[in-house]
Amino acid sequence: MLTFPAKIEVTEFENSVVVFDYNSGQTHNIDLDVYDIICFIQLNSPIESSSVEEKFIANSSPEEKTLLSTYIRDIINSLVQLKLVQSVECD
Amino acid sequence: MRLKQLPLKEIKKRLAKQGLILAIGPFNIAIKSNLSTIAENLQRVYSEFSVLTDDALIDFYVRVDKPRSIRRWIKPQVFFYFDDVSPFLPLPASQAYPLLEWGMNWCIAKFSHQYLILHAAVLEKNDSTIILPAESGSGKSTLTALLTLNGWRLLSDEMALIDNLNGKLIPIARPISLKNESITLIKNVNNDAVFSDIVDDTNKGTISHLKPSNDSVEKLENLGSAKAIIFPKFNKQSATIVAKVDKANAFMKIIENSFNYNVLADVGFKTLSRLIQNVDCYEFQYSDTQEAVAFFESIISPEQIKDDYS
Repeated sequence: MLTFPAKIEVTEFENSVVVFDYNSGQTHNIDLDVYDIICFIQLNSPIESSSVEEKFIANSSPEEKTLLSTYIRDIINSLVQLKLVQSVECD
Repeated sequence: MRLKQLPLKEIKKRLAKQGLILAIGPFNIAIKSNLSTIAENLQRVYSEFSVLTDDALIDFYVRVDKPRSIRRWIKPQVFFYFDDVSPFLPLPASQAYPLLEWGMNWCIAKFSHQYLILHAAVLEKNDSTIILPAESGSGKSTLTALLTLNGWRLLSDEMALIDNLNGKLIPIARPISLKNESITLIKNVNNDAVFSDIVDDTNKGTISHLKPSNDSVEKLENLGSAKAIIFPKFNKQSATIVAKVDKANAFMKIIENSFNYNVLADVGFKTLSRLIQNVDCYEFQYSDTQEAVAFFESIISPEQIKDDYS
């Protein structure tokens, strides 16, 4: 299950956003596509990782779905590493 | 009263006793020293700055002096003191004046968190203010000196001070720190340029400080509004290259050039966001100084910069 514990400040630019994370004090330069995923998790937290994938691979061909799923999983893993998103075990 | 109105004898007397209090941009700095070289160099490169009276509110009390030990005489050393505490290791006595300048940099960077402080030069011409963030050795100060000799107003050479409240650039206009070949280059450009003593064998090589233009010191009250951020890089092998930098990337590059972004946390983020949103950002590589000056002149014309470099 993915949660969004971060309190963030965001400045949007043309192709990406810069995010300040109050918890870590870190600043991140994030692609707009990735920011869409952040916003979706933030809005729907807590949410299953699979639900995030489903949301963003809808209306894709089967080949695209495989590719996109991997891509989105990588993004989620990166966001977890950056501590913008938290992955929690549920009973 | 300007420092140039004080005779050297009086400057030495104040430095040795109550302190010489200079208004340097937004800071009032009380300087003490028993060293003649400090008095002589201050008189030369800070001559246009205002001297304050003893009842002025002081931001920093600094002192550069020899220690009371054998190193006063044998291989003499000097210490920099801030509030009578020495935060650094001593340097050879020949480096007393650069040590004072570096010490003042340290005071500002360490204690002035009302500003977002960038390692950057700031220059203004025709109401267009340009910020030049750069690492040491990028040719920033040489470019800054060249531009000031071509009519640009110096707001700062070493530290851009951005007010966290309103995003304005605060002029400080201290002398420009030049290294190695840059000193000769600038002397060749303008024979009348005034320098502090040339000091060899410092950690940064040979050092001398160029006196800021009178105009830059007279306009210390005039705040700047940034129009562009330019990341300069001197490269002997390079033609003049200008490339627009994506604003988010510029944001991250500026963080790397900030003294206190991490200290300021969200305040620094907001100040930098406001700054970047209102400027264009460029990487600028050069070897030809005349072309470099011409590029900066072109920046003053908004139409030209849009057409040529976007």
